[in-house]
Amino acid sequence: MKTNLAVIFGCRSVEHEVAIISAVQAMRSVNKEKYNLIPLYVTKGGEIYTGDALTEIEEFRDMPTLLSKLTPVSLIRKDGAVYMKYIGAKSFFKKDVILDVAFPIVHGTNCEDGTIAGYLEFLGLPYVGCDILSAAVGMDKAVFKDVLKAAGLPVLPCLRFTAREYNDNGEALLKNIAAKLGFPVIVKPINLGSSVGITKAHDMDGLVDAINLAISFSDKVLVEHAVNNLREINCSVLGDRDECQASVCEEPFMNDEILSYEDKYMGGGKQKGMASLGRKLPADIPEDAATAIRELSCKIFKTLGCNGVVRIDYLVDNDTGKVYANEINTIPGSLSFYLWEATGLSYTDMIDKLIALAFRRQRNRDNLTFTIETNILSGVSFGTKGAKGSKM
Amino acid sequence: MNEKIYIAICIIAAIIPFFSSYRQLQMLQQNSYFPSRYMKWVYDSFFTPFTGLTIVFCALSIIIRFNYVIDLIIVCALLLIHIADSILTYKKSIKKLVFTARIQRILICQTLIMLAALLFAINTTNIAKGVCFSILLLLSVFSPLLTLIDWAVTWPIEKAFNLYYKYDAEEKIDACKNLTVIGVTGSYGKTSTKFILARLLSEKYNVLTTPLSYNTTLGVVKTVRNDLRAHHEVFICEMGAKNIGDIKEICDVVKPQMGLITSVGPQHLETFKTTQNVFKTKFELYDAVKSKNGDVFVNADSELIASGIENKDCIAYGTEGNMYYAENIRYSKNGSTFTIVLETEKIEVTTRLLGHHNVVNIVGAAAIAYKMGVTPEQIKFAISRLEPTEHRLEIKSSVAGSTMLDDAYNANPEGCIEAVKVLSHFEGMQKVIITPGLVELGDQEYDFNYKLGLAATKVCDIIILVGKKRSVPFTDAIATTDFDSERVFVTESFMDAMSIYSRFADKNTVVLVENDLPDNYLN
Repeated sequence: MKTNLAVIFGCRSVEHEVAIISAVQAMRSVNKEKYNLIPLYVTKGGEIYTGDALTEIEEFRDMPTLLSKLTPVSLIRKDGAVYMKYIGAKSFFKKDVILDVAFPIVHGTNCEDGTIAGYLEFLGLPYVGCDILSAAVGMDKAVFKDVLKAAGLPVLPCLRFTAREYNDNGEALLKNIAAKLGFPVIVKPINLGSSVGITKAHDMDGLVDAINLAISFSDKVLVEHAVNNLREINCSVLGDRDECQASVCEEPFMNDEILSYEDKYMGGGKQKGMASLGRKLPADIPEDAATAIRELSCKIFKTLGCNGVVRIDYLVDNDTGKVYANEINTIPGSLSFYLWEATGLSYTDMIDKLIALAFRRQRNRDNLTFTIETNILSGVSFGTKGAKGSKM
Repeated sequence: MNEKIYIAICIIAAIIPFFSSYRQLQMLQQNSYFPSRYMKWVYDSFFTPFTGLTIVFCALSIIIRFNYVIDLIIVCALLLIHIADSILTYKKSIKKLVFTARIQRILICQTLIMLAALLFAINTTNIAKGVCFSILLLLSVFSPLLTLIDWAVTWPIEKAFNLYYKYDAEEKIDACKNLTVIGVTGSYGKTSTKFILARLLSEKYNVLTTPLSYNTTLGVVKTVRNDLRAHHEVFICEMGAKNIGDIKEICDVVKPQMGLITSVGPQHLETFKTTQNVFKTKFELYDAVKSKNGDVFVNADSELIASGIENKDCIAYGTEGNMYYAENIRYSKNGSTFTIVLETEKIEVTTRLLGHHNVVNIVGAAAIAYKMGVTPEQIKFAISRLEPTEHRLEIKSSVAGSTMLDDAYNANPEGCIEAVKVLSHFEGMQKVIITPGLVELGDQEYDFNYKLGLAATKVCDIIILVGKKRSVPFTDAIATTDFDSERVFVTESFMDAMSIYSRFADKNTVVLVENDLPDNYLN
């Protein structure tokens, strides 16, 4: 007997295509002896499809043809379990399929931000990865910094505002940024992953352009002081709140001043996702600095209450040697498998470990909930018809 | 013309049982399809004034049997009555008939029977017609008879289905290569031990247990077929027995690699006859596990187990002197605290579960968990998180910071004495008992409550009795001792008892609420 593993990917997100690459990679590494793979592709319109064609990346080049090979499904709960139900014209003779565990591989808003965790929690299906709270905090760059700051963990000073605030008090905001943070600054749309819409500004004109770009992606914007002589170091963490370990560190190459969307996902032109991005692995930093970053990574992971695999990106100031946590990816591109391969864990084993973590979290939850057999409503009525506010 | 009316009558008569049998099938189902239990219900409850009325109708129709028009009226009336009755029954019953696959098969069978009877009645000769009609009507009205026929006809089919289900479950268990099956049996304590073991093992493994107190072959087969999934690493299977061979039958399906026997006692002696037979049956689990070279853990505190395992390769647990045991047991408002000795390891644990039986159950579960690689820290944590069953020696906080031991659902004499014993262990605290005594013990009721009264005088500082009439055995018992009568209170209700209690309650008081009853017993 095999475990029915539903890999959920795509979704209504600007990083839809990136998620497809990450998911197809992961699906190829799933241990087929142990798991019965059920790909669940969520279209940009939010509809869910399944079918064998979803495991081949070439199929995604022609979307209408691909969709014609697939069957629409919906996830339902019945008899204490979660089932995949075939819907639409082709569904008549197809039996519902029970799902044991879900593996969401999605990036960005409307999914990675806790939305999909909430959906799966609501269904009551065990799932891989961060829960609602840690995913939501991880997605919002500003709240992420607040939480870390409160825990005494190092982050860069920043300012934030909404698009409407910028519209109403633009001048004052710009002056405030220049005075409090000083140029150069980095402007980021809050709650988008994968560096979409992030630019560096060296002066007032650049700042205005950068803010305009950022507010086209999100109605919340974060501006932080840019470290001049910096390097980026990334580190991945795998585990749960009780037990976790950090991977080796990597240093991604930068084409431009910051790692752009093109760098991250279009690198080499072959579209292989994060895994094909240019990098130094392991990062060329002293051993004690690497150890410090790994320890910090585990602290951040536990502070947020993460689960599964995450990647934390750091900025290192070369002049001072200081390390700042920049952002966290609660579902990192390519699931950071290349970092774990370099640490000595194969992708197949890593997926196995992630699924075991999903079941472990479910066990911890089941142990907390106990059913109370008596129904407190069984003896309650509101008396005469239409009576309002009767006492119980 | 007569011919047509006759056919109509027969058809209507054949339709009646589909309504009249609703209640019958419901009761057959709720008596687990045991014809003997079902017949007991029929004997006790079938002959109501309503059925009497039906019989009168039926008799009338047979007496005036060749007047088809009157027959037709009577049959129609019967149909209407039964439709009304079945609708009423449906609306009134809390536990409704569930249209399971088995009920559907029975209904198909009933349809075939009635169709055959109908065809026969229509195609028979004139003289036999009256007789046929009477038989048809008899079947319709005496629905238990028809239900029994349904049961008998479908019985071999059901047997075949059960055999298939068993085979299917066996295949599924065999297909789970990484699954460890643990069998749990015993005369007492197997359900609670199963849940404690499940909680401890869930620290490390994905665990499936048989739900509630499912412990028959069919219950186990159902759990395996419906709930066992590939990610489960451990299956804890409760095994119950009423006859010799019952445990073996379950073991043949699930093939346990580990076993836990919680106790052997004089239970179900009406079928087992002797406690030796109980022992033999429980140790069918031992034979099954040993054939797979697994470990069997037994509670050697149970005398019948201790005396029977000399030549057996068991791992004994219990209190001191065994391989795994609990020592230094004490009770406080935090629950039970004790030391579990696991081979070379000692773990100091605290649990909200109270009572000696729970301590022993926890030791048995901890022994298996330890053997399966759950760490002492994890075992300690899991034990601290165990949830007591509601109203079963459940520890709570009460008025004025006092501690309450809520044992309201206990109606078993030995359990009551054990609860008083637990109370006695709250050293240095003011001890109170609130109880109306036990009921429905028949001849032994007075004697038992007298005994409970005596036990209470030895342990308690204050005794609060609920119900004047019910408290007689207690006051009789108390009168024979030198217990201060100023410290005995007889109240009218539980509410009154609580208000008296609140006069004495403080931080240093513990109250045992024993078998608190609904008000209808009080007078």
